Amino acid sequence: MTLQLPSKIATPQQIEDVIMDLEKYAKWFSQASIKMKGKIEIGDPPQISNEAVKLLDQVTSADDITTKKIDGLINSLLDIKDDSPRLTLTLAARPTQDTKVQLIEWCRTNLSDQVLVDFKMDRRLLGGMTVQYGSHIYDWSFQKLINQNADKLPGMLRNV
Amino acid sequence: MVSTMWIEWLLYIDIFLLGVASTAAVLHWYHRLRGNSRTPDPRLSVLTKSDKQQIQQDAREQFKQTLNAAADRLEHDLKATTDRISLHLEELGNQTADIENKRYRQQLDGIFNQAETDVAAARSSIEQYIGEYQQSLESLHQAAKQDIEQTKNSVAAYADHHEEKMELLLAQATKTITDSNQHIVGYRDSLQQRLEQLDQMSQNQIVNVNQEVDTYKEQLKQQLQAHIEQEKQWVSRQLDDRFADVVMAFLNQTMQRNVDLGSQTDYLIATLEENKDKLIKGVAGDTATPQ
Repeated sequence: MTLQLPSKIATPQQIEDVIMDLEKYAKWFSQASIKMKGKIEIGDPPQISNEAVKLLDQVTSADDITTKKIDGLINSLLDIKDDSPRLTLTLAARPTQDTKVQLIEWCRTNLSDQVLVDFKMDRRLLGGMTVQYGSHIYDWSFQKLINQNADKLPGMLRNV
Repeated sequence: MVSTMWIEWLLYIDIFLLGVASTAAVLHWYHRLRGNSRTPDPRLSVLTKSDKQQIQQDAREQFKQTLNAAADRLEHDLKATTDRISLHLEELGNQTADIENKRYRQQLDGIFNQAETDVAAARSSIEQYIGEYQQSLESLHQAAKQDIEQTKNSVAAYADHHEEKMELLLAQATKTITDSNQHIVGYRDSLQQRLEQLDQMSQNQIVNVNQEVDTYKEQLKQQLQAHIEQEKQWVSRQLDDRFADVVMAFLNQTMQRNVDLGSQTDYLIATLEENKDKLIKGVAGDTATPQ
């Protein structure tokens, strides 16, 4: 089954954060399993992010959770971090979380299930965005459009 | 003619002797062949074989001597005949050359005599022609002399007759030129005065025109400044009233869709949709490379 990344996990750093949560959870789970066999009281599970929980839910249920499945999930996340295509979207203003989610979902729906999307800000763009993946850069910013159409402005002013 | 007959006779004799020798040789050869085929003479039967051989040998020797003698004689006769023929031919050649030489000289003498006669006739006709030509030249020369004398006389008379007229015409022409010069000087002076007057008038007019132009320029300048000021105010008012609309129209035309400068999410999604194929191709290329 292909792992579906949550919309809020879009950068390698966020994947590493989730992996850290999962490793923390795996460690607790391992110790808890031993304690359960020895009928020793186990403490509360560590606090992990909602995204980590969603990922765990994708690969296992609460009844059949195993260390092996958690390790498999961590390895899948590592593969995604290393091999998935990465896009960098540069916007003119800091995007809201909602905007980020919409853009990431669009990319995962239309480009690749596991594409990683990083966001940057550059006020000089004025609006629109630039998209970079690998060595390719597409400039769909207002700055470029305005520069391309700058010669039309005097004509419009004359028609005022 | 006599020499030619001698030569012919000697040739006939030589041919006859050659025929006799040839006939003898042929007969001897014939008898010898027949002697082998005939029935042998009974008298010969008493002869021994050695005697027969001796006889044959003797006969052969005798025939050979006879044949050699005949050949020598023939050779001797041929040589003598050849010498005589050569001698006669030489004499004949000399006689022929003498005859031809003599005849050639006679022809040359005749031609030479004829040429001398012709040259004498030509010389006499040339002398006659020269004499006639000289007489005609002298008559022509005389006539030309007379013509020249007559022409000289007529030219002198014509010159005497027209010299007075020429002097009169020259005096009239000189007077006309003097009068003309006086008229020209007067006309030039009047023109000079008129030109100076016109120059003065034109300078005055130029000064007036310059003053008018300066005045008009100043008026135009003031009008233009006022007009520019009005335009500035009008443009400023228009900009104040409609600049926001212009900028929005420019941005709308530039972005080619309605832009909400507050929230750009829809615009960004629309931009991505517009360029979806390009992005898919690029991402697919990137993801395909590691495989």
